[in-house]
Amino acid sequence: MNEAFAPALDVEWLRRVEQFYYREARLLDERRYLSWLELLSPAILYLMPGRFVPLARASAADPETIHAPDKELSGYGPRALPLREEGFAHLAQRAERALKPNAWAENPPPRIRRFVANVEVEPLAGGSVRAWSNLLLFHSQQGRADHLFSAQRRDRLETYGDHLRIVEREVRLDGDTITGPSVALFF
Amino acid sequence: MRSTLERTPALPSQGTVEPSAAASLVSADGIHVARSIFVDPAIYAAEKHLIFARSWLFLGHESQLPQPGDFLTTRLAETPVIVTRSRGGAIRAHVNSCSHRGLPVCRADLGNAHRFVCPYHGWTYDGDGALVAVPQERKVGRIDRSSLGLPAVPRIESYRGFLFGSLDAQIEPLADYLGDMRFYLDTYLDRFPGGIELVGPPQKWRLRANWKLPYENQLGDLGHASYLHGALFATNDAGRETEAHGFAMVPRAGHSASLRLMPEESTAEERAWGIEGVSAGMDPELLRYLLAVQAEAERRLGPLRARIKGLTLGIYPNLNFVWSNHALRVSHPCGPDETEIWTWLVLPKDAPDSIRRALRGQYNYVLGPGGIVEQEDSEAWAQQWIGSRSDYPQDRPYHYGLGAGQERPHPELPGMASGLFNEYYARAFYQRWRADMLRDERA
Ligand code: FES
Ligand SMILES: [Fe+2]
Repeated sequence: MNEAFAPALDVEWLRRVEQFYYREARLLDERRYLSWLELLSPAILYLMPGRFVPLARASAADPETIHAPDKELSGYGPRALPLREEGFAHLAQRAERALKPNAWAENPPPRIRRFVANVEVEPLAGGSVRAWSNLLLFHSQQGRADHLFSAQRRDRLETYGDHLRIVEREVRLDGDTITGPSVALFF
Repeated sequence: MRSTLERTPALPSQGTVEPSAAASLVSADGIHVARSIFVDPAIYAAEKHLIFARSWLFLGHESQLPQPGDFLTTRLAETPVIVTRSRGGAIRAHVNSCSHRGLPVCRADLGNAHRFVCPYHGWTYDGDGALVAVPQERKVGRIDRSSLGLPAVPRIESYRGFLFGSLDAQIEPLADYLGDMRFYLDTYLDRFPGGIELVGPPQKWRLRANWKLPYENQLGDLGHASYLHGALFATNDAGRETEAHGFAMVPRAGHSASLRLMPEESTAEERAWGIEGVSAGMDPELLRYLLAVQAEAERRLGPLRARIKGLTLGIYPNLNFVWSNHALRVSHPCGPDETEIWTWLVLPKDAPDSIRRALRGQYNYVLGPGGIVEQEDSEAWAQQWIGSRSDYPQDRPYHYGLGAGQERPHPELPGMASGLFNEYYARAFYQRWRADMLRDERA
């Protein structure tokens, strides 16, 4: 998807993915975390890179790369410190915890609304699809300042029976310093 | 002697807390702590020059600046700072603010550069802070550049690779400031023959909470885990182990080390760094590695120190190290009711790549901005603000009296021992705070 022009649009796939995202967002907004787990592949990789401010390096050969967002990301290698890097078991533990009465960051629960936009899809072989989307997450709790998290999501979804499920999700937060109380949320 | 503030133009004097008022904010025994110290702007302003400008503050670790020209930007309280390894290899720290109109001359978090060019009018500084170019000189003639370098952080010292800076030129040497805290740092560091490194860039997040509360929590509030984190910890082995063997050591008021001293008959697996009672589900390669580190530690540390299984260390006023989860943390104050926490992962330098990822999971899944445990702490620290700022209960100071008087010198370890629910670690911190706030600015 580095090219300026998108390939011919596969409307069927786009609709499917959009509807999947809207339903996913509604499940999460309604705090149905266990139902949300059903949308995940047991092999899911859930990633969130750290982000920092590097020293700009110009490239005469490719001037657009000077401020490429990739240069601001921590990455996930053995010498990196991503914000999150999880599998299904982690997400399941988070989901179960969030529904306990003594999970004090969730009781009373934050009110969260997720807005999914700018969906782009690229069908891959074997019934899976790469999808880009923008996420705006509104977070409000306990009369404190409300927070907005803005992020890009880069997903890989696969067909499973008649449905889609998430095999990989990378959440690239836009905030420099994180100003919300936690990013231990479902993005 | 002149006051620190007069010597340190970066921190204007604005604190106006009368000494008598400071004395009444914290009782002499540290049991009663005024709510206002977590929210009052005047108290915060006084803290900046009586505590932050006169303490040793964490700047970074030598592993972050391996090459000449490497730099990182950080802060000493609210003063922006560039830390550089100069061409000559020395580590220097300067206030990151142009002598002309004050813009930061370095806007990146880290990198390698030998020149810092201010964006506003192009004044240029080198890694030693010297003003090396003023473009306007071509038109208006020379100025005295030698007096216009970036203000230097007057004192920089390192303890085993951990770099600290102080804005107080007269401060005691770092080794004395740490005192017997060195014993606990060494007990961690000595187990890794290849040394440790900081993995970053740091995670940064901002909380609506006063800086003292996160620091105090990680000095030794072992008792909160089964309550605040009850949804996760109520019944697991690590929790039971802490109940049985955990306590806090205070080698000097303001610093602290919370730890478990495992019994002599405990197994290497029970004592090992990184296992925390979860060996059952652990990746066998990781388990083998952690047991090998422990075996090496038993050889290097001797029988007593090999039984120390740390939890959290605190170095006054705002540096914490979470031994059990490999995280170094600074609570940067950003105002009376705002704190920016910066966190690095700490790993043995020679840990194999396959192990590093597993150790990282013990940090970033648990603590930090995405941590399943930390989210409860962040919430609690921000909630305290509500009680601290309300007017009515200001005559009901916070109570730090649990276990008062039960602290004792430890028979084997340096410092005063305070049992699992004894809040001595916090009383000692607020006593140190009180003494610092009472010190004569002109002294
Ligand atoms: S403010 Fe830096 S050159 Fe003018
Ligand atoms: Fe906690």
